[in-house]
Amino acid sequence: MMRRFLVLAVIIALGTALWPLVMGAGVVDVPAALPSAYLDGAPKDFGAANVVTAIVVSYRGFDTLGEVAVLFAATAGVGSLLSRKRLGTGLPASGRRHGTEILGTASRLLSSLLVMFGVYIFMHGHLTPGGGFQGGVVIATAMLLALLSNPDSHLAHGAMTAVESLSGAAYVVLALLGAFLGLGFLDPRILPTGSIGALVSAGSIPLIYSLIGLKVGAELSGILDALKGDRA
Amino acid sequence: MNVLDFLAWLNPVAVPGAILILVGLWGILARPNLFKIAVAFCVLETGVNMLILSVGYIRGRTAPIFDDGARTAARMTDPVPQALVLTAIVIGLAVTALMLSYAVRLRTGGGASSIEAYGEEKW
Amino acid sequence: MVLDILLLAAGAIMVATGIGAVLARSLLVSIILSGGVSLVASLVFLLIGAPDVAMTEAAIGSGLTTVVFLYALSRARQADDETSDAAELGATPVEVAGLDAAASVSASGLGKSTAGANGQSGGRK
Repeated sequence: MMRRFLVLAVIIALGTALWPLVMGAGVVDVPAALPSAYLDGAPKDFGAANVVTAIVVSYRGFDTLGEVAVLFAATAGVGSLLSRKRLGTGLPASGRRHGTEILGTASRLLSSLLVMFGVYIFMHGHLTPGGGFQGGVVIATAMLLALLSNPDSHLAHGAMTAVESLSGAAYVVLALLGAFLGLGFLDPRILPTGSIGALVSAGSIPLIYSLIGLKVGAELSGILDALKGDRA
Repeated sequence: MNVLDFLAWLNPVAVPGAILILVGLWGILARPNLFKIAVAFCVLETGVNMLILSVGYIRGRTAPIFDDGARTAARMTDPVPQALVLTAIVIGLAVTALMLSYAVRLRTGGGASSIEAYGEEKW
Repeated sequence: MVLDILLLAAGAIMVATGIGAVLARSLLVSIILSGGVSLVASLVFLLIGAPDVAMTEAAIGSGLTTVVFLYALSRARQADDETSDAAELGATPVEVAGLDAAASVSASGLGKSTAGANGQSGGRK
């Protein structure tokens, strides 16, 4: 009874705190000064058609670097919490049901196509909606399909680790290159910016976003593999 | 105040976002099952993302993506909240997975799924 | 204005689905309903001009999060089966519990004996 009262009190307090954000706030008519500056600057300075990508990779690139680090830490946490050593003896693998013939055939056909689609999404992140995070998720979906069709299989951990750490290192090297060339940490203008709409444009933005895509794809596949269980 | 004025007075994205935050908080505080708490956390996270994005909602404007020149910056919404929410969603998945692996770990270690069973570990 | 009404309607669906997800008795139902909340949220994001966020939310919120939940749930169910089997057979968990209890008894016994020793020494002083 007491607990219900406390829960209700907390919810009412948060509700009153949120009230001015929702009621009477209305909708603004023009963006503030900072977004306007980004909207003007992204095509002019970097040649990026997608302003959100320009913000994620370059204007707020430091934020994204930290975000990728947090993602790595969370993946490592999941892997170490669910490792067989911590959980004692592993579960018997014989109890698992195998995927049907249809699922196996379809996943063999679709996995490579899905990986290709993910690569397409993150390579065109500076031109169209999408980017490294979305492309990485699509790659992880391809891995999920492979894991579903053959539950006893496992991802090649060596390859995953190599992709993950190499792309992370290359990201930091590209970021530092901007600082060494005197442009600033994570500045995309270390490469020619080109014209808006071309695949090779926007400086190093597509390169960095592709690296993020590979890293996110490897990390999310690792999370799925760890949660699936029966890992050596 | 008629209906149209009332609609202009509210932010139509922030309203469901705020309610989802309250629903998620209620779920976290009132449900005992660890997995149910994780579900409520997901609902809360969606609400927070909507609330952040509602700041960048501008009526009658489109996505902040340039094409051949038909679109100008004067017709685009605020891109900054979108960039913030983009990373928040990915982090949210990783944090949910971490939360769930703790729950699985407790369960396989012989613990209960209900948070009531861990009363002594609270302090 | 039409878009606003559409957004509010989508928001009403989201709130109803969210309440259902929190209230549902079955965990499976609540996981799937929370995936539904994310799916409608991605529609809302698309309508307010945020296609990047809509893509991410649709792929992660309603796709991968649901899968992660289902994997975790199946792992927890497996653990349930394992412990119940073991309890029926009178295997390891019971022994472990017995050992644990014995250890705690001996520990408390030790604690008492040392306390007694302290008391005695105190008495001698």
